[in-house]
Amino acid sequence: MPPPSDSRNDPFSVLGLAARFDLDPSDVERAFLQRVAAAHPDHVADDLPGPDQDEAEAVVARLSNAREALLDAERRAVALLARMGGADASADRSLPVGFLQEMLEVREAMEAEIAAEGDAARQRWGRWAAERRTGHMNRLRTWFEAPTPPLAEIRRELNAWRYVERMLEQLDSRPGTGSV
Amino acid sequence: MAYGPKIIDHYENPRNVGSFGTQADIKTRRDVGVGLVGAPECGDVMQLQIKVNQENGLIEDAKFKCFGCGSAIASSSLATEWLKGKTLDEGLAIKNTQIVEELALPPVKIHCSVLAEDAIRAAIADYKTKNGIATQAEQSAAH
Repeated sequence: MPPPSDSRNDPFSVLGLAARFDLDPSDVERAFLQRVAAAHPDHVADDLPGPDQDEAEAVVARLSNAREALLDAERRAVALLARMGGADASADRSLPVGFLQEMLEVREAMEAEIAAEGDAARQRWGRWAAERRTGHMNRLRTWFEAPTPPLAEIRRELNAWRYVERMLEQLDSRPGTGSV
Repeated sequence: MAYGPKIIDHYENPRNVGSFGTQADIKTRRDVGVGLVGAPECGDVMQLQIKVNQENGLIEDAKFKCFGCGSAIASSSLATEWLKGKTLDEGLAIKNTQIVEELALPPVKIHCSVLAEDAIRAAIADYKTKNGIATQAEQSAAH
């Protein structure tokens, strides 16, 4: 297995938290606040030379990025897989069989129904995508807790989950091209 | 982020949006090649179709659907314009870097042009498979 990714980029290491998929958000916030208090630029004396101030700001930015990554379930899973030495999305683009075709048809139906019905359709598809999200999270939770997490399956699950999140991101924005 | 006029034009007025038939139709039509691709980095979905003149082998029409960001829509719109009138080999010669250059895509959106190139390749490969034409991968595997 390849070594874990650079610990400066690993949000679990940055915040000193146990690397697991099920994390209590309040634990993330507590770890973040403790470390920020220790590193905040305001705590660095004004008469110190510039580099110290810059370094403190860089540390706070890293802590802030790590906090955001761990509070987001999808990004948390991505970080966990990276720690385990799994492939990233550009190295392994695999998807469940038939998934892209299903997603194309779902997106077309979603756009047509939103064009015809507006918010009622938006809410219905929002619920559909949220259910899908729950399914992805449940499967990932099981796999991450397995004695030997199946890295390829986890990557494929994450790849599929991205499309569902993309759908949610675009539910409220301008439609694509399907209904033109 | 500031976008150039060409990308905005293709996003606001995408060319050649649509399909040469229902999803079931285009799967079986031998004169149509279908490429369905996705970008796992962002979750965009793109389908590109070519319609080939069986007499002269030229791509006489192209259509696309794209569920993604403005850059992905603009990249696939441009790709369909470029494909028309080309041979299959000329279509395969279209490179994502040409799309990047034409639309002045910012670095974070280069993967959108890669998606369009992937879609072109997939559509041409589908056409070749349907018509019993060996793809380059198959040719090199045979050697």
